[in-house]
Amino acid sequence: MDYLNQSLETIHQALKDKKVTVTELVKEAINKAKKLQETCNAFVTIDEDNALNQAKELDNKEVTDNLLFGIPMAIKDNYSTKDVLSTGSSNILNNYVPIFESQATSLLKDANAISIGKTVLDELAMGGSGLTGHTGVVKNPLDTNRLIGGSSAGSCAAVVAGVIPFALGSDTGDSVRKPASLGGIVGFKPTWGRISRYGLYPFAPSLDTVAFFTRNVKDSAYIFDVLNGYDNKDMTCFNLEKEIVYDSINGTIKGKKIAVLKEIYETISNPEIKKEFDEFFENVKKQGVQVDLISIDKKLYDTIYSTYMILSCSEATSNNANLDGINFGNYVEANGVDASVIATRSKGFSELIKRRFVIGSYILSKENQEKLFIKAKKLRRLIVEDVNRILDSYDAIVLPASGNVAPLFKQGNDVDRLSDEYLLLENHMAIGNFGGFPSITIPCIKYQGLPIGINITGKAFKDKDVLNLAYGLESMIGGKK
Amino acid sequence: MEKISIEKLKELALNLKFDMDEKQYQTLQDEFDIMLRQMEAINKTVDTTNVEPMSFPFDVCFSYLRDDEIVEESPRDEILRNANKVVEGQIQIHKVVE
Repeated sequence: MDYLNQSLETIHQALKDKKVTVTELVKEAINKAKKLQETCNAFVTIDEDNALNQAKELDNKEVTDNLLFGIPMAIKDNYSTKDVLSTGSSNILNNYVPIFESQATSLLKDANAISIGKTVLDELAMGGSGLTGHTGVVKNPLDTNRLIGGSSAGSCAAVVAGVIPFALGSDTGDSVRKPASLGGIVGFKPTWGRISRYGLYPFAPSLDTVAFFTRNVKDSAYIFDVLNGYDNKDMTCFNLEKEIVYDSINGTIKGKKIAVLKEIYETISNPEIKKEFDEFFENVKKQGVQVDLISIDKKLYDTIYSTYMILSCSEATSNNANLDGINFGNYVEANGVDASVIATRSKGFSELIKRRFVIGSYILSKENQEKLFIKAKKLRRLIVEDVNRILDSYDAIVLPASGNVAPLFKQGNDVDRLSDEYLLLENHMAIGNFGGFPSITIPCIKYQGLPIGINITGKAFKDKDVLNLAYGLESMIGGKK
Repeated sequence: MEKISIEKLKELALNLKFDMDEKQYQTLQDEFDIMLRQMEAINKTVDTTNVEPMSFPFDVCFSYLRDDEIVEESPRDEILRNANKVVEGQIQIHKVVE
């Protein structure tokens, strides 16, 4: 039996019943990872020896009640993992082996989950395609002619392919929730500040969130339980009591109220896809859920993409100034320190990253701060206040996570970046990062045999309610085991 | 907003301590053109007068000071193992003082 594409509970029970050993699970995960590497390039590092050693140790212990005991996992390569190469999928860090463990990976390892490897991302988590990692393009396991999306491309591909039942990603704009949609799995971004970011490479810290992929919503609830809680090593981590939600998620959705934002929803250009989503919402209503198509100020929401680009590029420019190759990273010798740093950064960053840094630097320059940077921060407040106003009356905002299935590679950049469909439908999930809202994507419809997800976003710190609603909708749709 | 020049882009890139080739600067100029047009549209359509800028998702104060406790640091050799050149326990770089 293939246990790796089952729920955490099913795998755990099999371990308890001694139907499978941890070593067998890990060996199977590594074999699958190697096969996936040939077709989809999901991994930067497959950590075979460490994983098998840990598995052997666990096989000498009694299986505990902890569902992560002996479960293989994968980690996005922008988490610091002690003594394991952690490249950020960038040439500038292609030889960097950290001396400390990130808080998130530390908690997962303390729970006896076993990392089988580090996964490819869009370089330094900037980008949403899976095309820009320094070790090459990540392909979609459902159709290798298509993108899986990003930036958490490899982690998503590995869960989609059933290599591991869950994987760690990170989400700054929609970097977990968008690929989850294109791969037909669950991607959850909890409330900002609920999980420590210590050891997660900073891209835009006011937006960055530890996030993860699972095969179903209950598994996401379990990972959330393991990861959330105060950590004094992250100054933006809330000093709140650890929350345990797994046992209280029952999927009751009758009587709930959800808002569908009309001006975003109606930008779906493919009538067949729109019809599928219309039918989904009709089915939701039949479950006793109030579904309201509500109007928003389109002019304000049109600014989501620009606001995101301005804030994220500005923060990224500043946060990555430390990558000079001197203390760590891939140093390139030239004639003098200044020339060496220029050579290091010129060779170390790809073109896309450089463009984002220049945009950030332009925005932060004195003459542009007020009209661009401060303006974007004001727009962020207006958007967040408006979303909070909606969430005062509704349990969640529910919208398609994307307007179409995973794009073909040959489509390239054939996207109108000034169209409503692009600016609103393809970028609305950044709202979740602006306001730190808990936000989850679950598989919803299929078009031409490929999945498109639905996204559910709720009030900050209401992670349990968002997970519960998602669980209810997943049960209605008929999700994975 | 007026179109940003290639020279200005080169200046910004060099301030950030990297360089690009001519084609890449051209792509960047095109990207700037779209972004600045979007921003121009925003400035015209959404009034942000008297709106307080939002830097973080929530208006909260974080404590930036930890208790002054002695903690175990990583050994020097471990810290230095990622550096390019290490001489007598120190990272070696080019001479910076003429």
